[in-house]
Amino acid sequence: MKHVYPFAALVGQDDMKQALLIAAIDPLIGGVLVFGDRGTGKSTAVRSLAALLPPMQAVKSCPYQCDPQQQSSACPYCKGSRKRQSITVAVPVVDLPLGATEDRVLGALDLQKALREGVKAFEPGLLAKAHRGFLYVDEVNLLEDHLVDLLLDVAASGENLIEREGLSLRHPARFVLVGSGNPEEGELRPQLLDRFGLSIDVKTPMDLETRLEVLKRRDAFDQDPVAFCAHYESQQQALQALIVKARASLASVALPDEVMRYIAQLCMKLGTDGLRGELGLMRAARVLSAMREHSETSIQDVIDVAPSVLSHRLRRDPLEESASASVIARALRDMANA
Amino acid sequence: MSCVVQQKFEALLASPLSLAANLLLVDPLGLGGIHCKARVSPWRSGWVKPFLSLAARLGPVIELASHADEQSLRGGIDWASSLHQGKAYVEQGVLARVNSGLLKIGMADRLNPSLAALIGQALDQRGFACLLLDEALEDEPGIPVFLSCRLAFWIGEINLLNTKLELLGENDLLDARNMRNSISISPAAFRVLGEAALAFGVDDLRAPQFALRAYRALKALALVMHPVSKPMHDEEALLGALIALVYGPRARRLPQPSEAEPAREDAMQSPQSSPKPDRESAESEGEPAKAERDQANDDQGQEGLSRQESVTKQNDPPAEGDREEAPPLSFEQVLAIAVGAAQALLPAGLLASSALAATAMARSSSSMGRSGSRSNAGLRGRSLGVREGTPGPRSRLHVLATIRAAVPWQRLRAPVSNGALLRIERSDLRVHRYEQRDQLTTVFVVDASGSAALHRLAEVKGAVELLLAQCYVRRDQVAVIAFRLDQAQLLLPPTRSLTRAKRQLAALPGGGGTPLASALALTSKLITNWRRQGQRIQAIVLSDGKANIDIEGKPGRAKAMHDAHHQAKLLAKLALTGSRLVWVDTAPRPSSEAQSMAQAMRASYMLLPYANAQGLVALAS
Repeated sequence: MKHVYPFAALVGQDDMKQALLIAAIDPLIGGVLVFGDRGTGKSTAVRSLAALLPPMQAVKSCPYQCDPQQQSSACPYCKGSRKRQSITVAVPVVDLPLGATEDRVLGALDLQKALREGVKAFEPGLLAKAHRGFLYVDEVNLLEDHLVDLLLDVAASGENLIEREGLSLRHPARFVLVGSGNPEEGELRPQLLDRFGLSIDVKTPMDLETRLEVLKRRDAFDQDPVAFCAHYESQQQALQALIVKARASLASVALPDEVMRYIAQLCMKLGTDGLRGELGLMRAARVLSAMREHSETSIQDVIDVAPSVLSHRLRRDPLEESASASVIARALRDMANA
Repeated sequence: MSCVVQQKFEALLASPLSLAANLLLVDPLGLGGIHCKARVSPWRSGWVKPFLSLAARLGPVIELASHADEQSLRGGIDWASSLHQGKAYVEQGVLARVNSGLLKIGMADRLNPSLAALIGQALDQRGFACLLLDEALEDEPGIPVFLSCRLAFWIGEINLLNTKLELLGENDLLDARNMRNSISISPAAFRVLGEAALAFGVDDLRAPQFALRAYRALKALALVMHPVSKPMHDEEALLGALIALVYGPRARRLPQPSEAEPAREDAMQSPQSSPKPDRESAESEGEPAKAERDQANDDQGQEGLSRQESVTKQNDPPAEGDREEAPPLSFEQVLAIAVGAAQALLPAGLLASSALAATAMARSSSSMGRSGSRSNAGLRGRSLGVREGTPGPRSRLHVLATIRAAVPWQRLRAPVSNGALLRIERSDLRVHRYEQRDQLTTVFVVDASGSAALHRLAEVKGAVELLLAQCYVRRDQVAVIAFRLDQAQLLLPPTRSLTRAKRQLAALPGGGGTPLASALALTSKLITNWRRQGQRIQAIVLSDGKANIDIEGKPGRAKAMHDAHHQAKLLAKLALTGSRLVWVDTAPRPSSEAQSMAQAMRASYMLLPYANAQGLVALAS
């Protein structure tokens, strides 16, 4: 197996790492958007997730890696078969190439079976592969619009509904959508932006020491991936333990009224559209508290996730110069003083 | 004997082309490949052929067919044999077959973006190397940046014309390949490569990683060629050559020699550590190198940066003990020599061409939406899938989808007598559906001369931003051409990105003469180009029509008006063939010059003495 650069060995980019961890702990957060310069480790971070996340149980030979614990209603495979064996698999992290066709993404008629056996069978696409894992779209802003719509639609509903070529079926497709891109090459429509749970701006580190550290680690990895991964193994384990623990305690984290009130006030102050901002903020803050092993969410947790939850949801005057991050920072400051 | 080797090695260091080619063969997977920006020429075929034939002896070399599609890259079911044999045959895709070898892509500038994305993604797995031959013209979009940024070496006609390729022996390269992993790199070299990237304005962190790998490959080569304990070259010279090779084309600024640096350099050169290639190439291309330095000195804008840099240098503790034989050079000395050597190796006018690097990103962004041809409905464009229908002159049969549609019915249909496997009926026929991107690009041609210029420019900026704000939905693009002093200039290439427009329009000077003729000439040239890329264009000219600079950039009203009229008539041809032209007269009262000019270029004429942003947007939509 090819070695993957370990997540724990990524230098800097703490916001991005935090966002990915939040999404890994609570997939319902609704996708992560990473926008920024080239060569900042976006792809490396996402691709390293597979090795970091605790392996999961899946139904053997189910094309959708269903959870054996849950009686899945939607999965055509599990519904049919009586005996279900459980196996351990890695959490899927699927790369969606820019040029992917609808067939490949959604799935299509299995031609091989059709030709050989004359059977009408469905060949699962990338969405099926990504079920219970991550779907990574590099350069999401360059992806054909109809594909982005489709992805977001499936991501939101958790099911892939297929009505084509005489096939009619649905299968579960719950995944965390991770998109990355460079805003200079085109922006995402606001409707799409809004449907990502978290949005992160990454910048190339410009100080020499950080850059050198990146270089050194990458070089060490290239020279001897086995030793490098072994060196970071304990940190990877610790992160994995953190994820497992946070997932377990997530349900028991309390959300005091005053924190709820603070969230609502912040969103009102920023004038975010709809209630997605509040809901997302609540959810993300709770995950952060779970990661920090707090029994209840504090205002500090909210403040720490606010930029990534809200920055892409501000109703932005396109001619406004100031970045949304600073608008949020200002609002937070005002609220602290008030 | 060793003298010959020495010379050979020095020749290698001095020629970026040879260096790139040989290093790529030493570490093909780690370096990603070469992006060669050059059109077909004896020079290009002169080096590509021997390079490929040597590469073929070291691993598989596959040439990507110009009509390659996703399936041929990724592999899939081989339909012809499957139907013939009645069994499913899976054929391997190009990306699988090229395993550890070299993929040659000719006419890479015409590469479909979705294929480019696939190749870029595959490059991340480090399975092969690419040779991209990019034939884009100056003002055409080249290959997408997400692909080129994954390749270590960018070489082009501009800096390499007539350089000869020297390839090393197969065995040397293979030995170096094997030895590469055992080469150790001193902390000082890390620092030099890291800091030099910053000094040249190379932000992308992939670049220093490439430089590092190239360095390792180069050191391995040096060892293979001359396996004596004493290294035949100083680290600085090697580093300098690599900095020039990897960072040069990506550079967005040139490092500035701070005041203290020359003195230090002199002091340090007194021991024998003076890098030879530096001196030699400085002599051979003395003038250009000097010009380059002067240019760097002229570039006062970066002063703050270099000062900051020298501060960090002073704070750094000198790196110690990383070199055994040579008198220990401190880290900043190594850096200074290496950067100096790199600058000497870089040809004059590089920044002009690697400002290309800065705009390359810009330009290629527009490549995403281009269909590559004049609109020809139904047969071209990006594939949108299939629909039912009979193939004909306006639609192409989609073989796969047709078979797919026919397959479920085979049992029901009467068996075929002639031995064919499939019985296809009319209702099974499927044809390609293409997206005809009817993309509108609005070009503002702005008169930035005279006193009203600043106001007008501000309004145009406002209009551009307002238009772009609407473009979320409409997917249109905006470009700006401005003219003042003695020439016209494309200020903002067609873009859909507000972020970028804001940045590029931020500082836009005004004042000076009115070179209307060159502005119109540039406008028609660019419109023709863009139309060839499948865009619909409308141009809005804002001027009072009072030209006073002729097409050669010389003052003189009469000649200037004459030239402008001539150019306007040329533009009229474009207006007749479908581009909408609007002339906005910005003079306080209707000016006869503007009216006659508008008439000559068949533009609709408007008087808008106080051109405001909303008004312009209304005109454009």
